[in-house]
Amino acid sequence: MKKVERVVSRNPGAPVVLATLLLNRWRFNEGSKVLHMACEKELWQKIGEGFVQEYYNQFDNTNRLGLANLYSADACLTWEGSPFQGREAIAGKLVNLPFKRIKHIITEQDFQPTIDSCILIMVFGQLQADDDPPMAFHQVFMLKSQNCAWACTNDVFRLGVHNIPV
Amino acid sequence: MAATLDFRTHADQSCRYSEEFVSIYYDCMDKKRRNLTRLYLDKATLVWNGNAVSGLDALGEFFESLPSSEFQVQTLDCQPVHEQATQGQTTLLVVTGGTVKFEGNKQRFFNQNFLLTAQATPNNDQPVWKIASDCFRFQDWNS
Repeated sequence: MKKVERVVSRNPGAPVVLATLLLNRWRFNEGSKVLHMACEKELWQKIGEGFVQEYYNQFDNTNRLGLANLYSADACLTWEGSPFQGREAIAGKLVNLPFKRIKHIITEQDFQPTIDSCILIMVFGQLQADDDPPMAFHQVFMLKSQNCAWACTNDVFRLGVHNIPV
Repeated sequence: MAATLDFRTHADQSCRYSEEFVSIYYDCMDKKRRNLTRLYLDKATLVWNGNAVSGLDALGEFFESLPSSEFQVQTLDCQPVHEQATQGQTTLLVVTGGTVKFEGNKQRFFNQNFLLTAQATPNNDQPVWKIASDCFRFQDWNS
């Protein structure tokens, strides 16, 4: 975790680059997974946690333009059922969201390594936009290692409002 | 332009597959629980409210241990996953949300995501979709 943070803070403009180092370690560790598991958190979990922290930190504390760097060039976003494809389209959507302030609180996060060495992340939490009442949300990310860096290739966001019975 | 159209066709097709899959999955879960593991790959993993279960035997045992259920899906999102990283295999990300009532428990909200991979079937044009990863959580909001 410390390692992820450190690399991220050194490269605030392009945090996806953080993974070169971690990827090498991951490959190195694959052979000794069992031993590794007993000692510390799995690497995919650390990469996932690092991503989630960086994503919501940028979302809440910047103009969200830099979020584009976390996505792969041809990433897909489904935002409340509306599809956006490609880094530019996604950045356009996120930057133009209609609120001045937003705060996310993460309550649960699950990480799964996939068969093809990607990382699947499911995040649960609550968010508050401007002075609106807090709302539940959940968001699913798929991270993929491309050119020795981790990037988000798939992102599905839903508010919890659909679950409130009318 | 052509690439955009291709992507749209691909995405539309993915949505049709995922709708079909989701209806089969929850029907199986609610009514034919014994058959549910047939929808999973041999090496599939499930994370159920933070607890990992992997392998068909463990999954079968786990599903048998759950009380009978009534699922209602209210939201369904689907995306094709880029094929470069899945070694040429077609993969779909499917995200569902809705309500579930397990027998003896109150109705709760849930979210679930699946990673589906297409399995080639020699005698059939339609691919068979199997779950590679599955992640489920109750959403304890307003409860």
